[in-house]
Amino acid sequence: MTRYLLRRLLYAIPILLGVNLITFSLFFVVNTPDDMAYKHLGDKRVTVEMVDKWKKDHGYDRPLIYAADRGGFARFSDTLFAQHSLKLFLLDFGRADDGRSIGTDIRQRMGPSLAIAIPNLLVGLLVYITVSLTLTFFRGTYIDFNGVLIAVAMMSISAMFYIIAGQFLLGKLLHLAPISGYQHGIAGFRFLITPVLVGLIAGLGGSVRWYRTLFLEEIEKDYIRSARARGLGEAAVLWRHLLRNALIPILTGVVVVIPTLFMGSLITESFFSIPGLGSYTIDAIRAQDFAIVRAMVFLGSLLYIAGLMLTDLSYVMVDPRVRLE
Amino acid sequence: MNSVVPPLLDIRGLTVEFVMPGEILLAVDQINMTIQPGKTLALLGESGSGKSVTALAMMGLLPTAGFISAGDIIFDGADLTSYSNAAMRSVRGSRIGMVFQEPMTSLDPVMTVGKQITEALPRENRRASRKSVREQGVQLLSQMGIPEPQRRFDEFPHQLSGGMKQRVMIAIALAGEPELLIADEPTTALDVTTQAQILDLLKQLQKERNMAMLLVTHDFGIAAQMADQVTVMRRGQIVESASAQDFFQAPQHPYSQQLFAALPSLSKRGKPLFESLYAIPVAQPESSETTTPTDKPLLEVSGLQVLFKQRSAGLFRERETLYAVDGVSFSLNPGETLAIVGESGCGKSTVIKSVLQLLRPDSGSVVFDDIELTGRSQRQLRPLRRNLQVVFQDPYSSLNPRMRVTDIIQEGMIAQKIGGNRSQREERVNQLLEDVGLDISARERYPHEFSGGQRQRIGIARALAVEPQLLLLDEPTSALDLSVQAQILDLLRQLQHAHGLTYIFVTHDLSVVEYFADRVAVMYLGRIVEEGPAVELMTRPAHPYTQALLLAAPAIEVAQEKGEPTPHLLGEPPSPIHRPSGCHFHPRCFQAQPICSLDYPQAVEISIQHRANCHFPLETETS
Amino acid sequence: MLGQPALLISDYLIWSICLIGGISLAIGLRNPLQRQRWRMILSTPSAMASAIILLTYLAIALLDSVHFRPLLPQDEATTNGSIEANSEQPNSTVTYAASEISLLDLLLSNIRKAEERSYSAPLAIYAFSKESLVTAAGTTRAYPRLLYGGADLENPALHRSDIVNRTLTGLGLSLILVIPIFLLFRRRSRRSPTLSAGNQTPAWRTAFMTIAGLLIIGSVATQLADHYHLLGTEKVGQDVLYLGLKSIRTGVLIGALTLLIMLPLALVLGTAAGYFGGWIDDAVQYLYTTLSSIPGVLLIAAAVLSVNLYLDQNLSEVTSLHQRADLRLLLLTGILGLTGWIGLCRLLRAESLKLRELDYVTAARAFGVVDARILIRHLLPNLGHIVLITIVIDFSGLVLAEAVLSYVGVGVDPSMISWGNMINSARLELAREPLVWWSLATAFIFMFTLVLCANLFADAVRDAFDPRLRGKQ
Repeated sequence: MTRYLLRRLLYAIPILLGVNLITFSLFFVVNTPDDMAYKHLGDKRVTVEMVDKWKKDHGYDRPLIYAADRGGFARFSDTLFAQHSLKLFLLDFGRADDGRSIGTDIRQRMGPSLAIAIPNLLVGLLVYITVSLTLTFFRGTYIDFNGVLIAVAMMSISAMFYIIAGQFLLGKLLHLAPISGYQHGIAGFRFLITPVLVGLIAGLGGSVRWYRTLFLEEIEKDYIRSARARGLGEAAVLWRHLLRNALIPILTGVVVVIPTLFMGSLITESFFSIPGLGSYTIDAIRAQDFAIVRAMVFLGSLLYIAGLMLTDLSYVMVDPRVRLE
Repeated sequence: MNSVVPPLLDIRGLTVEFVMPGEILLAVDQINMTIQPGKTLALLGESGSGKSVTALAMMGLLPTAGFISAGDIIFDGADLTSYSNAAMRSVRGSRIGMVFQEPMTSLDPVMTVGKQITEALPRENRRASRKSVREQGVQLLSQMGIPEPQRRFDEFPHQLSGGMKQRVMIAIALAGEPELLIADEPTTALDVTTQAQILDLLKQLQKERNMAMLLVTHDFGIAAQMADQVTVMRRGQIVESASAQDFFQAPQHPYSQQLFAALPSLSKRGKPLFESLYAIPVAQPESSETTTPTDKPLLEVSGLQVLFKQRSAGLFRERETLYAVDGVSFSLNPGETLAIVGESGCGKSTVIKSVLQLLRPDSGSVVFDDIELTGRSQRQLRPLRRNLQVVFQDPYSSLNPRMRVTDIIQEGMIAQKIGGNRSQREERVNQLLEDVGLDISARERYPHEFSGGQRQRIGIARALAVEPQLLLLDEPTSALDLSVQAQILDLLRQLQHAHGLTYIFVTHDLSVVEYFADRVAVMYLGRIVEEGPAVELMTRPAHPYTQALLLAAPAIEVAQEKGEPTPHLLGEPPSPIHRPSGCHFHPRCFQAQPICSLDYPQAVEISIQHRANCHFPLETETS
Repeated sequence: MLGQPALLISDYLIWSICLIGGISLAIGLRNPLQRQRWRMILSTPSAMASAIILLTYLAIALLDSVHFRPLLPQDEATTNGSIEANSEQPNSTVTYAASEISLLDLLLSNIRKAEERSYSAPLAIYAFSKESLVTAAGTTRAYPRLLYGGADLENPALHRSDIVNRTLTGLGLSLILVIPIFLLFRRRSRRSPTLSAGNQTPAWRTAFMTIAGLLIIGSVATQLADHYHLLGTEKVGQDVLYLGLKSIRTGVLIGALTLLIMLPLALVLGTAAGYFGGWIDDAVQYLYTTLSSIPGVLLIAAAVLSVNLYLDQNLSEVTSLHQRADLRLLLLTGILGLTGWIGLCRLLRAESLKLRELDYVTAARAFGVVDARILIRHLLPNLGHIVLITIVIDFSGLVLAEAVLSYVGVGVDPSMISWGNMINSARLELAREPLVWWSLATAFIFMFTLVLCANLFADAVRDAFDPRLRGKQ
């Protein structure tokens, strides 16, 4: 097990390096630091000196990957790649364009993102499984047929409409919850109602349809038939045999996203003005703050890879057939 | 037989239909049958005859598209067709148990074996203390002849071998102490030695429990071994119903007779199995067995070794070496048929692939017509390939569904740049279709429009298109019904005669071997353990494994003297990754001596051209 | 001659996609098994209706993809900035407008040119908000009449009856087309036998109902839109119906072009990885694991930002606004394609792994058929259904993604008419008192219809071609 995890960790390094290389080439090769400087200094009478000063202030006045004028190790270390991309490996995210430390920002904004994402995930899982298991129970009837139709219709609606409708209904018409905003602590609970509810409904169609498919795929298998042949009732077949087997793909599909929950949801947080990492990212994109975007890309990949490893571990826990040696 | 005991099961006019898109399919058509308490009824039939549907209908387990449209299923005086779903539940398991064909998929993979058994126990027994429930489960396991039942109780299905899983399935079916056991092809997915064990077990349990049994099977041998009564089904209807004794002595219905005729056996060598337009009754003399050894061999394989570096279970990359083929040598004279026999996983198909150089052997040599094939590049091999062709087992995956038959057959000619221009090739396709007994109109059609047997004919035509000298047949009839198998075997025999073909025939079916082959090589765990002329080897086997295989194959002839069951081989073939030391067969061998676990035995000459790798070859009564 | 053809790059691309799609369909239909499957798809009522609606969307998108510079009347030419052409004939100078319009614009000239000053409700004749009006009695604050909506309606009291009249006229006119079509369909469905073994009859009834419904809606809408803003106007007074219709091209283009880019990538890499295995497989797997480990939106955002910045700095002399927006759209689809091929590639790799072990591939290798030919003859045709299912499902995903990306600020050019931009500019209008709902509702209905139809069609395709793939996203 330990050996397996070590090997997975080693395998993660080339992938993260690849991620790094992609972002590096996007941010430093496709558009050069000069482009960035011009963009930030505006169009009006920019001199070469001003550009150089901007680059120096933001640490962009180095060569890309090889510093020919330096000696020894500095030839490689005193470059944009080493200073801006490789440092991410040490979780040193550097500074945003306005000079704030990105690392501090990330730590502060993780909380609100999780406050939305975790209830969303847990309640969602419970609701989606219950609904899809009900549809499976009524398979072949009109309840199932119409249920699937509704699910397909629901997944054909853009998430933005759910948010807008949720804000309008709960916030404006019924005054059940604030339209947007966030508050730390228990008192902030009311701010979470709408985003969590909206997230739940927005994901309902797609998830229910997918889970139902997983259930139906399992229900056609031989072991279900042989469970029935030994006189088990439908409830015992569904709960004891079907659910356990179908949960394997469902759970492992969920586990992979757990680490990325930290990243928050871009549009939910932005619409509801929640000071999480999602709105942080979207603000950075709109302000074209490349340092933040770069940091978030790297963080996202890191968390995703962590999610993959967690998935493997969760397989061992739920599926007796899988061993990691 | 005319006892006053009412039958346990009485099926009257049962009709089952299936709703298919755009049509209604009649799967079972007004059948009648009865089973007496404690007796066995064998329901015999080819695929699609409706025998499994009948079994499922009795359990109330028909797929959603199927329904009983008429008839009664009277079980112990009550009509099951009138039962509600809930009432059926009280019958299933506790009064009628069922064992399915596929033990690999019929057990819940994420639940322990023990739990699955105990959940089938009668309700009052399940309410007992946890310890006593466990004891009941363990006891059932040990009754099924499973060693170390305490340990197995807590294991998951994937930790058991195929035969063991089927024993667990039987344990589950019997946990509710049913009066009737339905066994739907219970051994079809198993190897012949395991099959014999499971059949023995069923027979013994039936005797102990005085249980009635409905045995659904396609295998005449199994029916002969097991049944008191035989019912033959064809296309949803019953064509013949008789006591086993009468049936196997003199089948009455022409269809039954045709099936009997189609059974390959030693005594039918050289005679056609299936009377048809295409089967030319050529009385082929059994001379080919005595091919003079001076003939220059067409193919010489020596020391062939194929290793697989295992990447087990997908997730981790620990590598283990699997000896798929380990030091196989044989030679083949022109016009000869060599059968390679063995249970699944013995490496027989791998031999074929490595002879064809589709799989590069790790060592050894393959010499075809004085040309060494190993070590050649794909380009060098290309012109040689037309001489060796292959026919596959699965008629469904062997033809590209997106190509027309004419394109399928022409593929080889185009790749080998033979057969001239397009119209000449088309001409040749016509000729080939005629040769394999298909209508020329087949040319423009696609594979899905043909039946399994017809597809197999197309596959043979494709191989013959490049005029090969050697045809490698990889279980060409295993996926086919008995009557279709007979036609294909007839066709192959006839083609061999007409074109002077040489065959390597890989199979697990010994009756096909004794009917069809000139020489036989028996494989066990990647090695040939015995090789010799077919008739001699089948009648006087020298290796204990060959003998066990022959004994395990259920034969109709034995049916007459149904007495003590013959002792069968214990256990199942070990994994080719962890092969036993010395002679790989020694842990299962009745006469193993200490030396057997130390040294791999050298080949021993039994008679001319007959050798066996055994320290103590069987004393065969010399004729 | 309406004007000078000025096709955009994306116009060429979308037409060639249609051509490629049509040809591959025709090739596929040569196989009777394929024909039977398509018949099965069309026998599902929901799929039949979806197919017709999807084709309608496609037709609108194609109409909107024939751009030209319209011929200007002589007097206008002198005032507008215009391009002079045909300089060889100085006597008869023909002038063309500076900006391109499409055939759809031409058809919709009425509502395209009918701009109001600001918001107006659907079918309204008065503006949405009060303005100071100078009348004979002095300055009053009142709702002014619209410039276009019901402008020729002398008596405002007749507003409602005028709408009813026009609706009825529209209904009546549509019957002229609906009745002959009805007769045609009745003959058709009579001729095809019901319940023939294995052969399903297409859902002719549903087909007729859908076509009839579309015709009636179209006819009524034409009647009303001729004199009113059927779906109101938005902030700067543009007709919302026009915006909704124009967005169709953007949505369809994003879906189709992205697929055009990701298909070859996924096909080549996926089949190569699956068929050849070894280091090729390792490399492809590394590539897609790396790419897929970056959160999708972030990767797209990062790429779009970088590329746009590059464009801004280095390509400022692009000719027209249209062409610039078009270029941005192409780049967006390029980026979506480069990030979107992974799912399909994985599926194709897995399927190729399976296919290469099949006996017919082994048979081909035993004949010495070269790899390239095996790939083309044996693998590709048997991967068709996976490609088909994936593109239909991905298409709807891409239409939805456009809206989100436009909101995030990395979508299509803000000047381009798209559902995403419509939602984006209209989303705060729900906070207004009284409510402005029509922009959002229009974007919702147009988008929802397209995505729903694509999803329903995808379901039917999947059921017909590969029941095992059901629900795998």
